[in-house]
Amino acid sequence: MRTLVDSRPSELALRDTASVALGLGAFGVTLGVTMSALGIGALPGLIGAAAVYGGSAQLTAVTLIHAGAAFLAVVVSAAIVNARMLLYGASLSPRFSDQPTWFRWLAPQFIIDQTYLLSGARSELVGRAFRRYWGSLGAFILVVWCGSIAVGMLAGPALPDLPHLTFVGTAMFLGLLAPRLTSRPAVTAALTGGLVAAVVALVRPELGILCGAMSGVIAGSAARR
Amino acid sequence: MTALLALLALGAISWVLRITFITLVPADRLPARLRDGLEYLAPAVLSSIIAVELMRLVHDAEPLDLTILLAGAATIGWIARRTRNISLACGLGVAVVLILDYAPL
Repeated sequence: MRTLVDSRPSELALRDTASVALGLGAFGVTLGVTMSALGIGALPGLIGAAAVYGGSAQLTAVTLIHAGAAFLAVVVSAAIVNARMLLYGASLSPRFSDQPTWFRWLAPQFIIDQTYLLSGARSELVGRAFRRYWGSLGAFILVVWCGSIAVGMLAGPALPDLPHLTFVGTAMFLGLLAPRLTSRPAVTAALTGGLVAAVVALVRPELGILCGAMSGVIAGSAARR
Repeated sequence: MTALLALLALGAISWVLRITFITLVPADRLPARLRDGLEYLAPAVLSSIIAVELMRLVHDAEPLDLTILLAGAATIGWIARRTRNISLACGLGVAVVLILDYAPL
């Protein structure tokens, strides 16, 4: 018999997934349409979506593949885009430290921007409750992500032309950011991160987010002292 | 075939990146200053993602589109700050997209 304690983390995960589904879905559809236009097949597109589980990295990879870049250049350039997962892992590490070994090896696959940020607001969940929440959140978001990419790949030509559709994803990130700007160090981290990311992205787009994130962390720490 | 292999290789590297500080080198072995700084990772990375996305969107934008994008982003940020509602922010994002792509401007 299911108890309230058992079901609550999954319900929270479902609610959290619903809050970002529109932004995530818009990006997924855009990625699917792009992959379809670039001639990437449905099989590599969808298997890649689950394996890479990061839209910006996958978009970088398929764009470079289409441009005829060398295998190593494709993988390294796209991996740099996903390098922020290192920072997410470091930040989430305490929450995984008391989990079973199998969970610490497999469950980090669910680390993406949304799972990292949403789980940060559920700090009360520990032990088994966190395990259930994290597994549910990762699975629900994976379904939304892969489903929206499939829609974009399969129905791309029939969809209306919406060149600014990725702005819905930007709006989602704005919705996640704004409530966090509650202290001077947090505002400093955000301003520095955004500025550095914008400048770096002008020169090397794949390094923008990583450099911005690292600069913001350093600036936020300095502002706290 | 090349695309599938490249994406699988990228997936494997991404998984290693994800487990590095959770399973391979637990983050409690990192310097304390670095661990403390991670408290500001969320605002730093979020604003970085937003900045990179906005840069990409405004790159070749007409002045009117540019104004709508930036005004839309500022409005969404302000409303999200007041309401803490991510779904509302996404919905407003859809409205901005419809204005940009369908309104007879």
